[in-house]
Amino acid sequence: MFIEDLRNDFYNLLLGNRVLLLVHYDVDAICTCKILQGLFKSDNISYTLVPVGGISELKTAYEENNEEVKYVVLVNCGGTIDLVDILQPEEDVVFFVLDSHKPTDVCNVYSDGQVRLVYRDEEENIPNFDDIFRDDDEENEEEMPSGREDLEAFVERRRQRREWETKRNDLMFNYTQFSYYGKPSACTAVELAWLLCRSGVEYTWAGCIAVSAYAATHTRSPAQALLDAHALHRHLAAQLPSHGASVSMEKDAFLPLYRTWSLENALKYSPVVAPHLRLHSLAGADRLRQLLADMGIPLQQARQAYRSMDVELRRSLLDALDAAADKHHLPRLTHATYLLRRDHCAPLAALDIVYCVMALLELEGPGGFQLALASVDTSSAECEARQRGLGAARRGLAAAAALAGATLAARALHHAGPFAHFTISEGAAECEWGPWWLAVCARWAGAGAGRGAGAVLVAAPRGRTVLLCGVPPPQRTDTRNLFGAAFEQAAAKCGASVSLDHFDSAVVTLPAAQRPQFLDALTALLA
Amino acid sequence: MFAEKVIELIKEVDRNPDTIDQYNDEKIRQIIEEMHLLFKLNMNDANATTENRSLWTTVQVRHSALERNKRCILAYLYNRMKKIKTLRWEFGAVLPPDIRELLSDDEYQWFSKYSGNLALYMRSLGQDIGYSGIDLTENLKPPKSLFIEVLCVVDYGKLELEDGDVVMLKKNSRHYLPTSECQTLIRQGILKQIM
Amino acid sequence: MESTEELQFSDDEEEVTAETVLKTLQCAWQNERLSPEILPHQNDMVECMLGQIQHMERNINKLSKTDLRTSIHKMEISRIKFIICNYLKTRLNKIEKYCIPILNQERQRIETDTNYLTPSEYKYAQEYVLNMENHMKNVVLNKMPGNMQVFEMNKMAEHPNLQTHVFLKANETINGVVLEDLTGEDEEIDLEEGSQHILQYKPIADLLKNGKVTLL
Repeated sequence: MFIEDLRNDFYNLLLGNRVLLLVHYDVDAICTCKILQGLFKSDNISYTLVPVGGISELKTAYEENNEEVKYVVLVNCGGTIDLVDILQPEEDVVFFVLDSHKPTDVCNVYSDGQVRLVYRDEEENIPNFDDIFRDDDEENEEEMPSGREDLEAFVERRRQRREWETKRNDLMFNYTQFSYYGKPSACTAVELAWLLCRSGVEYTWAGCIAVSAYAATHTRSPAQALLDAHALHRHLAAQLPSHGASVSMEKDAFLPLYRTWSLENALKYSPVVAPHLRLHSLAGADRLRQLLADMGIPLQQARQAYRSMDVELRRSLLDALDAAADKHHLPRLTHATYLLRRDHCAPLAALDIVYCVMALLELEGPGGFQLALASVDTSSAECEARQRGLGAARRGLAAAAALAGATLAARALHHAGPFAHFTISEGAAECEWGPWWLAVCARWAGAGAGRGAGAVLVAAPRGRTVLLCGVPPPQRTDTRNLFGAAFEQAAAKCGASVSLDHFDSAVVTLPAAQRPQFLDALTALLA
Repeated sequence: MFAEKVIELIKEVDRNPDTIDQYNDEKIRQIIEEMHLLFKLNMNDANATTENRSLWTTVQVRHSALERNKRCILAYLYNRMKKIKTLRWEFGAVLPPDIRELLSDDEYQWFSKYSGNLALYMRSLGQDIGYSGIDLTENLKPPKSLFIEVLCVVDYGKLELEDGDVVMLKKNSRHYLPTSECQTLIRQGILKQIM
Repeated sequence: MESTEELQFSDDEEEVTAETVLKTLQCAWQNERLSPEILPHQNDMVECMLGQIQHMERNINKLSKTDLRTSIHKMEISRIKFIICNYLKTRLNKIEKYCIPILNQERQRIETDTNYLTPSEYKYAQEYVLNMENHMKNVVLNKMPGNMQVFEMNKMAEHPNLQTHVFLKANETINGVVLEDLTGEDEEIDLEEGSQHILQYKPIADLLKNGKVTLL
């Protein structure tokens, strides 16, 4: 069921009780977690926080920690699976689900109170209850009809039932065909903070980071992103100057981490610019130099750290980027994004923090979760976790660029019908990456391939298993991912033992030996 | 030279003011032997001095050496006693085995007696009004807030809170718990406070 | 520190509010921490405060868990508990450090019924000295030759340094405090009410114990 009143039906129920917080490994979840933690602390709500990466981890975490816990809050996990079925909880345990993964499982939607969805997304077309569930009691009576009228009625009932079932299957197929992302959970959390009269710079900033995360990976269409931004706009406008920190929405370059790098590196390793410059080809470096020349920036300046660049050049950077993008037929290089301005510190871009958090979560090994939570903090000027994360993000972007470039140069991107796929060579460090960074690589390779880029599938072998991650084609309006349903069906067809453990259904693991037949089945399915 | 070994003992105790070293049984034995030797020499000479006064200074020197040895040994023991006392306040009545090894058996006996004495005293506090004693080893720092956020560093298992809730302390899990519950565990190193 | 004014503790002899008791206890705690020697005990105050805590805890349990007053009261209770524990602990530390002179003095004081230690503390001190003596004897003294075996109590004693300087505030006007100088010249000064000074501890020790001055 859906919750109508955030404050009374969700937050006020938690007061005075212990809560189990289960949080997924992604930027939105970290930001939401930060906001919820802040709210819980100010109300002395005792909680236990456990990060979960997949369905099996969710189950283990729940089983270990569920003693005497009445309220479980799931952040960005559990919305797309039948919670009651998988977790087998006690009768009186209540689950609050704040998940931006869509489509929401219908059992969660129509649960009678045990599973409560905190936010209702208007974009979802959830089928009506009667269209999917039907009282089947009467149909199980297999008494043999006696008499002709009874026989006719029986046949008629049977026919109606089949008709209903076909309609139901259609509805469900359409509903679950694509997987996509709804409104960022952090935005809902910011709303909640607002309702509790507790909003402040820290929460607004966390919301901004979450929105930027979806913008950076193009997982929300521009129209949707605009709606999200609009929701945050109110909070931005209502900011009181606290601790000399303020968040503002400004035009900024769409180059991740450019303030911490040199301009040349930022251009080389930007997932938006670099693929179109085709840096893996021979003429790529020339194109980059030409671009810089058109922007009016000497090569020497571009190669030194951004902070040391000439002030005049820095001021004119945004205009120069726009002009050069037009001339070189590149996608837009500037966008409206959020900056955190603090006294005596350089401004911090939300985009940078997105990459920082994901680098900490997926590239830094264990302990990354704690560091990621710390890096979203606004209070400390010099945050060690943030420095570490930014360093790791720089390395990550450079590695992704190298990998995509190597793949394209070696023509290892195989086109198989509607999608392209490539495999990371075994033993490479990138095999250990998490799905988010693999998706960055995949998009990079896809964009660099030119030629009407379609969907891309990347395979990362890890010992006996292979992690497959699929990204949809980089269209601007439709960001829905069809790989989720496709994986499931392909697995059913070829009998591969696919583990659908991840909450993002476009990420699966399967034994390495079964990869070829799985890919064949997938190609056949999507052709 | 006399009374040189004993200085090494003092240096040992002084070297690490915060931690306790292994009880140096060997050195103590040697020093006591030295003292016996000195004493015997002195006895011999003292009996002889009644006739010959020139030996009196030697006796004096040896006697001073004896006194010095005694004083230093007692200082060594006393300082170790002080360090053991802080162990009681830090670890509670049961010492971890690696620390237990550093104490001699006699010292461990003293520790047990001290522990017992302290427990007896703490139990007697507030007896007249119906308290069953106050544990003074809790509440060592002024309280900053009612709840603190902690990170569990090792697999501890279940922790039962005062109001009946049970918390599962697994490695790398974070919790937000009342300060009073966490104090002992933080001291033992099982939980770590997150700033 | 806001206190629960509505709770009153009435004794047989006099009516004291919880607030006064807490203030006295705080004062005693401050003095104890800052003075070099052990001061007369305030066990009545301690017990009274403990009783208050029990009362407050009972009240809190009646309130709902989410009431703002619950957390404020809980905070206050934990602060009071800390003060009591720290006060008792400071006294214990002093007892352990200066055990032998304290015991000697206490024996004399008990006869005039002006003891500084509570009965439990006194027992603790005696046990402590006994333990120490036995330990020393068992470990080394019994192995030492002949006349070295004596456990010389006076030599083992640590005496508090009464010559240290302390900050103090006078609670009332005091005339005629005699300060001893190293050169033997005595100086007599007057302390105005509310004035603050730095003086040697020894001359004002008695004034502290009477409550006429407070250490800062």
